Amino acid sequence: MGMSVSRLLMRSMLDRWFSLGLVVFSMALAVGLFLSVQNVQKMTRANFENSVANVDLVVAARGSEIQILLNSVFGIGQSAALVTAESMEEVSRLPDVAWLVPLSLGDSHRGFRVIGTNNEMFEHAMPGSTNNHLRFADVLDAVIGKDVSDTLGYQLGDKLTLQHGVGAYGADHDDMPLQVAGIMQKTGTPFDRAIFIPVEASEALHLGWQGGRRVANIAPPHDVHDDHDEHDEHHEHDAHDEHEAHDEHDHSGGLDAIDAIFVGLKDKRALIRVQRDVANLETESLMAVVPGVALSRIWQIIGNVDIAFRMINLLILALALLSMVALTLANMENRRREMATLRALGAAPLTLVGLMVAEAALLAAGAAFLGYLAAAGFALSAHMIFLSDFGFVLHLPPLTDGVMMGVYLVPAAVLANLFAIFRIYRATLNDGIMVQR
Amino acid sequence: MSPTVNIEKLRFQYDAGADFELRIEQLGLQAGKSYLLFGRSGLGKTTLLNLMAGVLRPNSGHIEICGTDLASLSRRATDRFRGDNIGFIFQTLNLIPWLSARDNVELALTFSPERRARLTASLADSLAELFDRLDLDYALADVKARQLSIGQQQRVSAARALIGAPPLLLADEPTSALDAANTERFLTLLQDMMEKSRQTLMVVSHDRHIQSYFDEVIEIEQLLTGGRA
Repeated sequence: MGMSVSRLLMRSMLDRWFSLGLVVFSMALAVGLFLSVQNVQKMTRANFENSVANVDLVVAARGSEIQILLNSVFGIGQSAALVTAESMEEVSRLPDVAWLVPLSLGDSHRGFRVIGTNNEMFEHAMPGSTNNHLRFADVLDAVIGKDVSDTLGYQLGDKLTLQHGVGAYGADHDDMPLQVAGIMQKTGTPFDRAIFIPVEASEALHLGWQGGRRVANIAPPHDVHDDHDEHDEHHEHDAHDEHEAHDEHDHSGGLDAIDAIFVGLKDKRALIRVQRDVANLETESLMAVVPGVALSRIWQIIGNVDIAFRMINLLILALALLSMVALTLANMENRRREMATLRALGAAPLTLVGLMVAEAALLAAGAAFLGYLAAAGFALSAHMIFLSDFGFVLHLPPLTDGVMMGVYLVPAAVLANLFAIFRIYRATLNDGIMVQR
Repeated sequence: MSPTVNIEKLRFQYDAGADFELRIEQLGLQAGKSYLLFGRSGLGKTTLLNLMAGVLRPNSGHIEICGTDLASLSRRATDRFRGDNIGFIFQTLNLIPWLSARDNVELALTFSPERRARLTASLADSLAELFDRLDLDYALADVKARQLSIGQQQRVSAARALIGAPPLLLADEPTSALDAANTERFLTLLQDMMEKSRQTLMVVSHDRHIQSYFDEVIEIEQLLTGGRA
């Protein structure tokens, strides 16, 4: 077969496998980091956007778009003010509104947030279609997200008691046990970490509370009273004298106040009109937020952080490239001798430049490939952590990202190394067929 | 029959107006003969070898090798021509250390299809024959060059210069790294091989003791009429 030029290159690189390996390793790490950060960023955005994919508008008391979105969808922050039942009624009467989902927020159960809502939540607002069938059959039913069920081990039919306020150490509403009536399929959104209860139950919870302090014991709404009696563990009827705070009949007619409303439209082209209608409601000062717009505002703010991250990543990548250049230069004396020998055997100087360029390109391509594998490995191994801690699915980085990385990295590596290659080339031209000693 | 090498009225300077100028009025090397170019270092031996290799170009005059004027060839064609027609043996470190002895020898054919075409037997047979004639154990063929002794390395590099029978062999101080016994052995082998082929050998050396192995001895100081200006 004989020695081909490519075999010569392979042998040469194999001989220096350790130092070249280190260079490829450092470049691959930089690439892996770059792809992983990019992947996590993309996935975060995709999952955030997916959370509100089916919601056309979020109506809440006038305030910051971002705050309204973060509070209603992601459970971050607090509502500036509440939305009254009259306002909700008004919104539902707007001609373009197809459905609306009330959201009563601010409660938690063992670290998971509790959302008071209605059946439309599952039917219309929930991302994906796997949870569309879930319903509250009873006012004391609860539907729990997959993460809640996985973490707390709740099964269908289990009882749970709720706390007022957010946080693991709130006082127990042990006088209002709810029953797990549904367990959601994974959605990859913050809703996986939520407990949904009927908004009426949420309302009832709050009746006995003011400013976070218990002022009255309440009984559950009438229609589920029998169910409640069956519950043996139920006690604490020691404050019956304050029972007048609870007026069942007043309450059953409608809702008092909620934090936000998810709205679905009959026609998405009516978005602006509905926004204006909501802003013009006379009942109180409300606004309708387009989730996509609010999200893009958030991305704008986070965008600078993204750029900073990217700069740091590119800097790390540049350092890895520099290590390759340094290695090439450190090896210059040996290379000069080899080049002189090859020239004596009839190799053209440009062929030798080609060998060195091919080497840089191969190293970069290898680094891009290994870096992609590293990012894929990270996605696979961190998959569960992202799912459980952040509530979204970290997919494998798209292969095209790895390919694009190679497309940029290979010429970048060749360009960076061209400095060293040119020095060796010039020396080779001077050396001729032998290196002067 | 035209000489293998014919140099006439050669003038060469690295930089115009520099102190050093290499001048050769006439040098002819006949086919099938061996020459010792003898002289102390610093007179321009390396420069002369680079000129004959076509790596350097003379300011004026002609270098003809095997009837071809090097000046008539392009740079790229000169590289090819060198690979096809000249075998080189250097002082030391002239093997690629990370290639096996076999790969080092075959490398001479990589850049010269013509030399490959000149092989009369298969590559493996040619290699085995060369190793045999150079008194190299064929088992060494797959040993990395850096693991061979200096004497073995020098014989491997002779095999590389000889494979594919280039008409001209140029050797620069081929024995300076060898001890007396190895020097004698190496030159005897070389002499032996040259007699069988019709190749021309020119060895450049500062070692007067080896002159008996050559058909003709040329004093560099007499050849290089200019020397340092």
